[in-house]
Amino acid sequence: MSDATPETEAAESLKKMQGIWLDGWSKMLGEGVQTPEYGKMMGQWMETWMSTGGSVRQQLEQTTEQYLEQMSLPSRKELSSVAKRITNLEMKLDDLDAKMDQVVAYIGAMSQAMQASLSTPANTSAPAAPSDRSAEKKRKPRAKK
Amino acid sequence: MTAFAQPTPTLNPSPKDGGMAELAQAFWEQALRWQTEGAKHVSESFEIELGQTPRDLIWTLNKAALYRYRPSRPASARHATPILLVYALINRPTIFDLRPGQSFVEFLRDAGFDVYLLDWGIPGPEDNDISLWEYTFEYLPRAVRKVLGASGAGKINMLGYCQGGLMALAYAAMFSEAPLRNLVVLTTPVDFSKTENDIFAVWLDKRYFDVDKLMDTLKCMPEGLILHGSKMLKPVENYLTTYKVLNDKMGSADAVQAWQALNRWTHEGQDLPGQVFRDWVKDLIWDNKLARGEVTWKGRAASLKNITVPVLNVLAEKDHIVPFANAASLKDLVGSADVRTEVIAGGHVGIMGGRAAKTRLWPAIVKWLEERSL
Repeated sequence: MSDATPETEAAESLKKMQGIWLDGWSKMLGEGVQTPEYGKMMGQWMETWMSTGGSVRQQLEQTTEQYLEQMSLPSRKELSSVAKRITNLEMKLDDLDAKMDQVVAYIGAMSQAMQASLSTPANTSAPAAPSDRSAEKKRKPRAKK
Repeated sequence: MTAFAQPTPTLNPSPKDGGMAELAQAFWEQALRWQTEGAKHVSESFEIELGQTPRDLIWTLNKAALYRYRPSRPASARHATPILLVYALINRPTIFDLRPGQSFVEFLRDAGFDVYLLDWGIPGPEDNDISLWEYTFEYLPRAVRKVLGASGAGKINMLGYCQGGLMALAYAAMFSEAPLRNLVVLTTPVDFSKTENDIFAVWLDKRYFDVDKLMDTLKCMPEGLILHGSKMLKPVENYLTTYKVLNDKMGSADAVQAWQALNRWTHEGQDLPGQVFRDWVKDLIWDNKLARGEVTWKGRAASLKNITVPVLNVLAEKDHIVPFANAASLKDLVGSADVRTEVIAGGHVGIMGGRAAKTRLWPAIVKWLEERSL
């Protein structure tokens, strides 16, 4: 830029330094988390956590369930079981809905085919004039059947 | 929209003109204005609501919901084949519809597509036993049937993103008779034997990582762990640089809102059902079952060779979540003769939610689909 002053240049340099600093850290940490050592360390940390905090959590869950049972209250497990049964019912309803769609489509196709076959003789015979009442009389009883 | 310049490039007066005291005063006045105005933009951006494009709920199953977006064009000006968007079970599908002007859904709709979205919903503790394959082979086909029913079309286009892309591939691989016209997958892992640059393969190495023990304890993968895990893939960028980027953008209300929309989406996570996480780790990362044709459901096997419809495989140039080689293998695994691999500049999330998406990814997808959806 032609209007660059020593101050703007200094500010730009500062910005560049900030970028270099962040890039450096990014590269170093980015490479660090990709190493098998980091994966191993995470696995070990999780193992430790599960054998301490995890077991406390499991014991707490067990105690809560026992308490709820004694109070004749449904536990989370029982409520989950009800929710699963509702989902299964939803799926069955969905399947029935799909079958209904098929039946409706089938009936629609059948109805169209029947209409086409019924209209075929009328098309082949001589068209009845609007005043030809005798022809209408002949057709009406057949239609009622 | 308000925009103003950053303080540093316009320092005035210079020391030559008025001395250091005046320079410092001018600098601080401008910096104060920058921070005050910027803070106003940031506080306003907290009011952003994600997923604003008007839509109608047309089907639900358990927590899953299928939405149809209200079209912006008359039926005669729309493409005959509808499109179903399938997102991952991790995070919310609002990445497709961040905010007006930054929405893939809006872009597709305005390009004349009849757009549907399958939202898997937010799972509860009662869903921890649902497997990845149950979602894929029980929920997804039902949603497809509903799309056909609602649209009246004979076939659909399916677009899957990340894990949603893998589910779309598995669905198409399982049901060779599936009513698909085209398949688009974005940043989708498929061949887990390609472990080059795959950090998850290192972190979830079966020698150190006991997935069963972890899921027996936690029952699900909590959203906090998922968020922290994905941020730790690039710790400096996700914990520091992102806020530096916000600071650089504070002069523009629109840029701050765009940043905030993506940031909010990142932090709107959800727990992942325990069985889904087990399947992801054991069936895919460890055993690579989909690529090997070993995923089975009710006695049927899913073979990627069954996929014969046109496939668009989109990769992000700087994807740090899905390794390039893993996703790029798709062309060799499917049975389709029409497979196009498109590499888009940007990261795993940025290609869809970033401000450049509307000039890079979205037009590329629409162009490819328009050539095949008539």
